Amino acid sequence: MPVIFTHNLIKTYGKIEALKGVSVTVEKGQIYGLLGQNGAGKTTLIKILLSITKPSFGEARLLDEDVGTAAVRARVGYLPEDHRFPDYHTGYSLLDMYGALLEMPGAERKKRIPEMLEMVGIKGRMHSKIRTYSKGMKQRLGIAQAMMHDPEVIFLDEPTDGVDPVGRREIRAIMQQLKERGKTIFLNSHLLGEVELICDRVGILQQGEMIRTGNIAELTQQRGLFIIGLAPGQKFPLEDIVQQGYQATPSGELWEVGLKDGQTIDPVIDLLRSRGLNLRHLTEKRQTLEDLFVETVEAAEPGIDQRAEPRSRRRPPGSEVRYRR
Amino acid sequence: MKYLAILKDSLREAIDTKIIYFTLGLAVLFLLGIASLSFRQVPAEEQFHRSTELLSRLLAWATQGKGPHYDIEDFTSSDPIADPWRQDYRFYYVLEFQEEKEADAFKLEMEKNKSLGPEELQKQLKRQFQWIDHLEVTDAPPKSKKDIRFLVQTKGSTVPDRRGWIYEPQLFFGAWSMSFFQSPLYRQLEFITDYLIGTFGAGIMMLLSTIITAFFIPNMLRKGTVDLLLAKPIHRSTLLLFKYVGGLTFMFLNTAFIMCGIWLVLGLRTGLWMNGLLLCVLIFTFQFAIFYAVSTLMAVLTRSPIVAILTTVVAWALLFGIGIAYQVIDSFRPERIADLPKEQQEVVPRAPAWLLNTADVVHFVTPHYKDLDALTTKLIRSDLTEADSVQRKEIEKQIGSINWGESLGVTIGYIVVLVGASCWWFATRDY
Repeated sequence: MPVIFTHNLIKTYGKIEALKGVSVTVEKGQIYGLLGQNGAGKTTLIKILLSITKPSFGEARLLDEDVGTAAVRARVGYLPEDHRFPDYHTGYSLLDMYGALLEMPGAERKKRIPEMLEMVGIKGRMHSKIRTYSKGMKQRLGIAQAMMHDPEVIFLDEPTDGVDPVGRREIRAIMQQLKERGKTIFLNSHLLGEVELICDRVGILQQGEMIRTGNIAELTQQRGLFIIGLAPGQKFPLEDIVQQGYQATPSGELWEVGLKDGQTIDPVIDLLRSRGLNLRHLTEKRQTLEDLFVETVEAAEPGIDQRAEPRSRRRPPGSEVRYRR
Repeated sequence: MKYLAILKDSLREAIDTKIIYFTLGLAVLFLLGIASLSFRQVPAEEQFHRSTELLSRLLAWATQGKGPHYDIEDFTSSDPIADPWRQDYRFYYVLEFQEEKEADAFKLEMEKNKSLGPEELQKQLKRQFQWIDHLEVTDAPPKSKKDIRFLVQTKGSTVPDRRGWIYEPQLFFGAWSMSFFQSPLYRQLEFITDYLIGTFGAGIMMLLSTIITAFFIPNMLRKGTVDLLLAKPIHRSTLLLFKYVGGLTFMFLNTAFIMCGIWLVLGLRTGLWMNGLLLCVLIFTFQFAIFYAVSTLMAVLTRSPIVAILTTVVAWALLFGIGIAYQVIDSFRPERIADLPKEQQEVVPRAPAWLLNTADVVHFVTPHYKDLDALTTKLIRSDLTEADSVQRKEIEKQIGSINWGESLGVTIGYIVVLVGASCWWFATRDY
């Protein structure tokens, strides 16, 4: 039974369609990354799952219950994007209030709050007013409040926003720990490298439509492309390589050699050695999540990143190129 | 637990705004002012002396120093240890002239014109010293040819206890005697409690509370803050209701602090424990509930504390105006005019039926804010005056004319509708 399930979820704000029939399934213990440009509908989807926003149409279930019940929200943790904690609180008092709203007994709160704040590295400042916290500290506090009641599912909307590289690594480690404990994490992030490192599955949302979903490993599979570099001053034997049936294109001082089905790179290396050329660089090019994202988004709607392009000139929804698995 | 969490959050927010320090500072200053207030019992002899001194000065001013000097002599009381209102007094009321011929002229005038004699003096003293139950003024033999004297004897008093006796307020622990405010103790306490606290103090408190609490809900509804709360396992209506009750609790605690302080300080300083003051805390909170319901609705609709404050102040002015207008129009109702003395009945105009009907309708559909003011006055006066006193009868007549079922029903209904509309709006919106 999926922990998060939506089917044909539609959300409209007047004439604006924020979500156009989004279906998502996340299994227990997975870390699911939702990717998408600003305004793609990522936050709207999370808000519907947490019943902060109501769907216009479609089905949304969380932990095998309809979203919107207090009981299901008690089993969920949430860190919103652009969160704004009341700055008259201290880190401790804020968690104490949220803990009380989550019906955690006082004794448990007293024990758990310092533990959580220690885990995110701000225990030393837990009695300082939030207004004195840096952005990174607020972000860490946000993660602590999302986890303090040991929820089964955690929604994190840009959790590493404003956090320094060391902090990001710590947050990734926390997520990994949560995963090991069987928690399900739903992650919205612009930092694709980070998503690639931590997520099991991703979905790409584009203008309210889920245009691609899949496992990270599948999506970033090898494409038979190698990068070759020779010693300085040596000429790359392009014609001979092409004659052997390979494709080669320059990439700065390096060359990208593409393999067709059944081909290996070994004949190319043999050829270079037979010519007395010194190999200085050889790597297999792997598609990154960023490559995939840009490619997918661009294919779905060419020129989408060219903000000056008038909306009327874009492709009509029915003619969009979609990659569905 | 959730309610307490929201309440603590509201208090934390209020404390953070710093306005609460101003409110509490104001309250503490006021309490210190009241605590520094002492009430000196003015002995009967001093009252009579004060009266003759004043008269002498006035006369000296009017006659350019040629008039007689009034004085009290050989003042005795039946039981100097007893409370002054339980004593009988005997003294000579003396007019000392500068020349013998002036005294003779006055005597002649007295014989011709009885209005200058002992009977007239008796009337004047009775009018001036209303606490005297029985008073007798008779001619007395002069000590010299320049004076005229009367023997004044009083028996009993109309004052049952200290509340009705004349006291002099002294501020700053006796440093500043306000002799010009000498009056019965109940009047001074009524001025402090009913006017200074019940009207101005409550008004200021209500305004400051409106400003402080107007930020609670808009701050909660800020993007990034509301999301965190709505993701918690609490129903939206419950959340808003708790915030509303949190605002009321803030007002209640604030008012209770001030009113209990005033009750304690006045009790210690005067020996009169005005328990009605404590009940006023509930009335003030109930009055605030009307205005905070307006503030809550506007806060939910607009998320703007400024709009919430302005709308609340307008609603306050409107309800106050409606209450006053209704009281005025109501006094021109034929059945009210029938209660007046006959000579006034003919002079007072009757309000036209359309005006009375309009006033009735407007009054009926709006919260009966002024009725609660009358209740506050009644509570205060009950502790300060005797059941058969004019002041008590006056307020009880006003209280008796109010239909309390309608008054409370409409007011509570109004609050329920406004808070209900706020909850509905909050529960059905996307955030």
